[in-house]
Amino acid sequence: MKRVLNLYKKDMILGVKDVFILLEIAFSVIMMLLILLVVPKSIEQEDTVFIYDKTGMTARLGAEMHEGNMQMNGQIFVDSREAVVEGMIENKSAVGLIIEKDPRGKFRTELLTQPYSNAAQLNYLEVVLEDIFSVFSPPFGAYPQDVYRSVSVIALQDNQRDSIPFNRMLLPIVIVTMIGIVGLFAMISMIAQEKVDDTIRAYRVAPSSIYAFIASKHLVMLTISIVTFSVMYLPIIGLGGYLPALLITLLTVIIGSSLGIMLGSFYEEPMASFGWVFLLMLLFTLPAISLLAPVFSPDWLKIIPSYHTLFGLDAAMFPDNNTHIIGQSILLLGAWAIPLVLISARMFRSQIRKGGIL
Amino acid sequence: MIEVSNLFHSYKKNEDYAVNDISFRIEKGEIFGFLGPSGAGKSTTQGILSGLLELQKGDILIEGQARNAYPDKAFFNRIGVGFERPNVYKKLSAYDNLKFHAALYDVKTEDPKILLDMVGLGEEGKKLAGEYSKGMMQRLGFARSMINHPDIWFLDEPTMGLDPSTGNKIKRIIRKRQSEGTTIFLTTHNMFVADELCDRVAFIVDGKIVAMDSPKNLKLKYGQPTVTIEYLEDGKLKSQVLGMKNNEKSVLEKFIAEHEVKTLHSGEPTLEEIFIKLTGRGLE
Repeated sequence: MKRVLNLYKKDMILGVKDVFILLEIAFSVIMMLLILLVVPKSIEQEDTVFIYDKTGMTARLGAEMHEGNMQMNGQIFVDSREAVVEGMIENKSAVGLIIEKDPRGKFRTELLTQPYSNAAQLNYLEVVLEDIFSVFSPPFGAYPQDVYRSVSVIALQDNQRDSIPFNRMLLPIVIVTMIGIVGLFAMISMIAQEKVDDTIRAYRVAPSSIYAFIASKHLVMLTISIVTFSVMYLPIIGLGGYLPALLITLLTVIIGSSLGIMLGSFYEEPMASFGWVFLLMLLFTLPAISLLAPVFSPDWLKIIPSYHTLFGLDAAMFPDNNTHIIGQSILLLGAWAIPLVLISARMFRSQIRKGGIL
Repeated sequence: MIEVSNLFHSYKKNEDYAVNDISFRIEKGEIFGFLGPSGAGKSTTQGILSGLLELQKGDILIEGQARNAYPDKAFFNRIGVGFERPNVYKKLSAYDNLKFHAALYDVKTEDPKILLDMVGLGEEGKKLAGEYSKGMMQRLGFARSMINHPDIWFLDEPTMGLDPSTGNKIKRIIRKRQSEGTTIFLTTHNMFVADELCDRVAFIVDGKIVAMDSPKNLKLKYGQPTVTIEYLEDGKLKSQVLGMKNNEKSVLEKFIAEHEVKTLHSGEPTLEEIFIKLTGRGLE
């Protein structure tokens, strides 16, 4: 342990003097500020409709819906066609609706759209209008009075997702990229530096093991990760879920560092391993798609450790009734980390003993 | 005492040997030089002996005890290795470099300040090693190899790149350690250093030892003693080199008798000349 601490002290001093620790912390501060101040809290388009209704039908409908506790969101009533157009110029995602009756007393509508209006949004509006007109002029018979009140929605779980700001939702992805993947490259760099300066050879003829050498590098990566994680997590999320999220992050760092040691075993220069680093970066960020669009969640994606990091962090940061995901992620990441630490250490020792660095 | 028998080493683990069936013995307190050109197998032999490379085939006995394929901590606690390349942490001061290495040992270590003074870096011990010249870094690496008071000391080109005065300082340290009982394994391709320092030397070429003895005996056995004569002829100073073997003595006597001799210098062959004679190759 005394030797590991001696190595750790040396590695931390070198890390600070080589600036990479400071750079990592500086980047995490920048990312934290970007998430808090630049990334929008919401990227959803509001479906605003400017309505000029000459018939007064929508106002009556609004009153009926209010009676039935229904909401009419995103509808702005104006009193001229010009006001509709002006509103649409100001709000580029809005559409316009003009409702009037023809001389025979039938409803006639005119839908004003933006050049880039979403076809699905327009189709939806057409269906809603058809529905509304059917209420007021039923094609046959009459609609039951409680047509809107008779529909109820039963949620199987309390879903708080709608209330999570978009910028905070990005944090798990930023943590995996900044800490997990950058950690991998930092580990390769640390090992390569020892090879380039040939200092590892001097270490090998001292009575201290290669395992202590590697343990120290892991400790350095974990220390930097705790700092960078806290710099990003605490201002954005606060203390909620801090410890489980930290544990998930640290397990991911150990996985990344172990992969870094494996690559560092074979390459003398960090840039020579960049092809592998790039491939691993792609692989590790792939599950982010699933986090942002849960409809994409094939089974093979769950083999990638970062899948469990992302969903574990998400569950720790934004608590709902999915807390079992936290425990599951910790177990699965641990199941990856432990063998990788052992395999990478043996691989590293075996590679340097082969005389590749003599 | 180190005894090496039938040592082989192949980097590809096939029949292509970098070290091919070499055997030698180093007595306690002896400076044993391993001489040869680049790629001859010197560094590989030192790598195996110092534990950097696996002992694939052959035996190494340290004071009668067989050494494993990879040595244990006890072995590393008693050896020191000075490398040809100055492998130091450039972002640490010389003092911190030595302090870091000292903390890796289980045995009593030398005070870094004393070692830095010894190699002439005392004044600049707080400076970052990266700001040192190559020669200074070389001296720092040399100092590091003494941090644990090794009783077996491996040195690879210890004076390479040093100015003559600093080189002499390093040689004095080596001799002093020898006088204290340290066994020294020195690899070099500098025959003058070997001749000056080593009690015995082995010539290694293509992984094989081609000759092994004290420098003096090698020169006597394989060299040609000569006499360089400067003499006056037609008012001009000329010189002539003549052999000193028994059958050449009469030629020498006749030459001296017939010429106006001004100076006479006996000469012995250099180790390098012996090496070339025995191996047919130079040392670079």
